[in-house]
Amino acid sequence: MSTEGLHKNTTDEPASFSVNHKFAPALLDPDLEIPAGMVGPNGNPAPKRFSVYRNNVVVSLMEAMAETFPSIKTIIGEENFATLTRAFIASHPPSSPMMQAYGEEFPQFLEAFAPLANYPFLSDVAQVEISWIDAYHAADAQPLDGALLGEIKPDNLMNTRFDVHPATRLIKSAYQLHHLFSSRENSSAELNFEKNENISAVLITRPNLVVETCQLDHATTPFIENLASSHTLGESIETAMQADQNFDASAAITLMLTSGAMTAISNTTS
Amino acid sequence: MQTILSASFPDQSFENSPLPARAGVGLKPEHIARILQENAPIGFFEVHAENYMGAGGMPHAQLTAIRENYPLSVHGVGMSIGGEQPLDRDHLARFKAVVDRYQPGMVSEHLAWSTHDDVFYNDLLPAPYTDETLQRVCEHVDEMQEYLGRQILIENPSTYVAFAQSTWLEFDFMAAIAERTGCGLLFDVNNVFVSATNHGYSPQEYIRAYPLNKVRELHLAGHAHDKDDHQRPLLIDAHDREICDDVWELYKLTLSLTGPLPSLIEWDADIPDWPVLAAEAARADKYLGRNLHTAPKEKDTAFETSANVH
Repeated sequence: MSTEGLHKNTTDEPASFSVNHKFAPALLDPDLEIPAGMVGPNGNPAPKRFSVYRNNVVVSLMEAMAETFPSIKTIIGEENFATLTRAFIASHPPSSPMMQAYGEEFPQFLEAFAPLANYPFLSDVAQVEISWIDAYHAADAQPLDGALLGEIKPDNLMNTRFDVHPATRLIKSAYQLHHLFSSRENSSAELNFEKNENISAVLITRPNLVVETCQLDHATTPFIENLASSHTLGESIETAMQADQNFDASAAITLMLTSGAMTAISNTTS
Repeated sequence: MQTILSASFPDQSFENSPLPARAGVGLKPEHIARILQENAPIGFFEVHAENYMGAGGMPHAQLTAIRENYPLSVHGVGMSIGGEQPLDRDHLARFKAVVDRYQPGMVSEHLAWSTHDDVFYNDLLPAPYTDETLQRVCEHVDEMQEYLGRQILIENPSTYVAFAQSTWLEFDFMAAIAERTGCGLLFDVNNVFVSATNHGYSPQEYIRAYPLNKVRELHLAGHAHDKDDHQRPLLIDAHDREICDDVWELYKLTLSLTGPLPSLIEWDADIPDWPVLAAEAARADKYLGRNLHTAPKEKDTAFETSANVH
């Protein structure tokens, strides 16, 4: 190895041009020219060397997307996923070094992406996946202790309101959303893309450290949704009964407790 | 995991414990249960600050459990110290929250940029070595040290291109940053080998010319092999395999000039099972004169600072 490369370059290139300004856009757009002044040993231009940075940036972002959206990747296949994420990365590069939030706009992107018009459920699945990440990083809180419910006077029970847990998320869909989301666990399972008669939701909770997901039926969906937006237990049951007169309130209350969707009783005023 | 990590949420406050002059390992979630179960004899762990900027949940529970048992180094990969625009104050605030919470022995960042306009590129991108860049980098290091209220270390980069307009040599540039800002240096031995190969200079000469008196921590990692436009070797700083013998030799050369320093094994892609990483750490410990698997603990003062491991 020579020591030549250790010596300073002498050049007429003005020292003050913005490197970032020319370097940055060329990273995400392979059609843009490589910025001038990028050299290898002996001062020769080095396009392949620059392409290492292009590759690093795009591959690292594609890996981040694959980590966040394994269900989408399973449903549409690896090749389609790569095409789709490349398009997303080019139009929606990250805006923050906190990469955990990268992909927040992916559900909207999928919804608006014309070639996917026949796959409207993908956007809902992506919303569950990004919400799962959200729940994973959400603030810590102890779930509601069911024993506290027993301490409320029967007369006050229906007027009770609850505080929602910081990790709780509800994603509504016309499709069998939890079934589609679960494709991440079993990539060979046959998937059902049929539309349901009613809208129902996937409930995401994190009672301690592990994120949990479950499919709610079309009556439990408005029940939990109402509780989570500070409606009373009575109001929430009533809304659920409107959706389905056979709504099982005691099963739904049990689910509210075991899922850890709520943290505390906020008040019992009538 | 559940058996080790409590589901309660401790409001932990940590004593500041400096990094010992031993081998450390970059912390990966898949290894944490095993590390805690076997009280792995590792000098310290290093984490990327950006992975612990969420509000709560598993990442913080795991890092809290590690921090209760080991000294910690917090390594930033997204501050864009070498960038042309002002530092992101929101990111600084998030970074400070991580440092305040975990009281790491060391805090470090890179001579690189990753943000331009409102885009974060998720890579460590190179800057030309000019007076202008030096001025800006020093302002950013000053700002970060002032904001955190402590010294930080700046790491030498691995690069694939050089800039025709550079007027400084890299080791002089690093020395100038340390002198002007009072920061320390994190010396990445693999980066030296990667850059020296890519730019055709001698890594040994680079090491001998480096301001080693400012170095407080060393990094070691594996790299991938490629070829450039003219079929010359082009090494990629991939952190995806074992450290090669050339880099171990450079590490030994560095230690012969610096004496023992905290030495981190970085492995960030194609992450192996824990014993493979532990073996890399044991090899570094051997060169540090700390063969923990056979040597007794006495006279090992650095070891005592982290004796709560066992």
